[in-house]
Amino acid sequence: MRAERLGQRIVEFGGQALLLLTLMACWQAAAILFPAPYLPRLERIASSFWNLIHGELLVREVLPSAARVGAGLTLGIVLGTAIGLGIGYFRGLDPWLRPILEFLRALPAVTVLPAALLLLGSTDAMRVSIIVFGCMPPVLLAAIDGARRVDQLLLDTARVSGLTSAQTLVRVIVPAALPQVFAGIRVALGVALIMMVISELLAANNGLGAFIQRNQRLFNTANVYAGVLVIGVLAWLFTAAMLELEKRVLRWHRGWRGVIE
Amino acid sequence: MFLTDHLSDDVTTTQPILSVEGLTKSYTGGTAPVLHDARFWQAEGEFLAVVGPSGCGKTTLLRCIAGLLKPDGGRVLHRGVEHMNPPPWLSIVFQDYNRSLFPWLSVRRNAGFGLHNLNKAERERRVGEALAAVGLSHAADLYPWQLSGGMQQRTALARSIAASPELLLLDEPFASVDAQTRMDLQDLVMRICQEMKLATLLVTHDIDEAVFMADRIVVLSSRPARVVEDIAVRLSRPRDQLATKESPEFLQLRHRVFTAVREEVKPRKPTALNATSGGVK
Repeated sequence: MRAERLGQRIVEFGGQALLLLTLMACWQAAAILFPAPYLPRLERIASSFWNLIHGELLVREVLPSAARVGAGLTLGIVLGTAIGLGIGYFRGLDPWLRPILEFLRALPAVTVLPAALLLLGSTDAMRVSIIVFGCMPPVLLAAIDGARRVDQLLLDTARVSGLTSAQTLVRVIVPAALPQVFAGIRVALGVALIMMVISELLAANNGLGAFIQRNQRLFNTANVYAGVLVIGVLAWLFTAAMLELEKRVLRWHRGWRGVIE
Repeated sequence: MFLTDHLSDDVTTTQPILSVEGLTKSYTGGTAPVLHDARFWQAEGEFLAVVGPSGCGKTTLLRCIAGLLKPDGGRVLHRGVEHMNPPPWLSIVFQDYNRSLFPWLSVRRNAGFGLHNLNKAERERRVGEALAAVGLSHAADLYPWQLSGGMQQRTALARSIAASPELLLLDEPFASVDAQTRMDLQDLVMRICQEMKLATLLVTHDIDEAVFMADRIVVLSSRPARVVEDIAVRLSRPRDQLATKESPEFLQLRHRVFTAVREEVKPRKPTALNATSGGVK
């Protein structure tokens, strides 16, 4: 059995590698046959990529971007979760806040960029702020939903056990709503990356977005593609980290749902 | 009406552990009356069963007693005192065990859920005893989804008794398990309640179960529910699934309770098809 599964995996992997190699071969062939500024050869892209991921460029361009996303996400998630769970639990607040929340959910986050630029200038505070602005609504709404959906029997049990509202919020609502919150976090991650790139494309001195922008103006297309690839890797790393965290925190949830379904 | 053996010698000054006085409750602003002037009381250490036709409001009554629901009229007194919120010496076991256990907590942690005010050593001691009483010591570190229905309900029971209650409320606790597990759980609950001298209020639609387990049975009418009969069950303890259920006393009681409940169900039956009047009684 295990040999069979291993064999399966090798075939899958082989197929994926083959596809990738084919695409790379096509690109390279096209770059050689039809040389053009927007179609650099693979070796140039590879060398730009390599430069970008170590040494001075790493520190100057990649790390600031990662830091902004990290900070914005953390802040957005913490605020979104705390406020969302509160709104979801203390149901009285919901009718008042609903229209505002629906508006925020519908509004594309990027529209606030010019306003943020006016308010905070071309600073890291501005960039982190719009990341927070973008990634908070999905988490907030997911948290509200998660808190509302907590089974009444769990709340009844908490009441009969003599828990106060605050204790119930922390010991029952938070864990019960966590699966829902994580679904919101997944969306927030995507938005955070978008907001990071856009804010850096339009108003930044450093960071991957700025790097791409600068190199685009100078027609260093290899650097542009390298930048894109690095952003992709960064996104992948963040996603992998989040999935790993989710796997650990929600181990009980997978087991529970596995039985129900 | 109430068994004096379980009361202390000083009958006159001992308050009944539970006193339901004229409880009235309706939903949707009075258009759907559920309870109307329900009244009965329960003595210390007494095992009381509440039965009635399906949907008559038994669960609503239980929730009012537990302090989870505020009645529209009447009072619920625990030892002569009216409580706004569930009193600390009351525990409840719900029917849906897979919705009332916390899925992110192990059996041990679930059992210890209400004991947050105690220090760690005391909490562990009580949880250990409760789990041993229900026979789940070996499964203490498992999670609810890893347990069978019977084990989950036993976890809920352990949680209730770990809190050292003086009144245990059971809301159709065995309705969601299979018949054999049901019998095991019935025996378990009876044994624990007798050992702990726990006043127990069992809400059930199963008349056999009510007669088998209780010291006294309260029969509710259909909606709006009020108490129509209060029947003492003088079967000897300990009760046996086989011997007790075959005894003539058991059968007589069963007959009596069954008829009482059926009387309440009767008016709800649909009229014959050839009735000329359009109204249903």
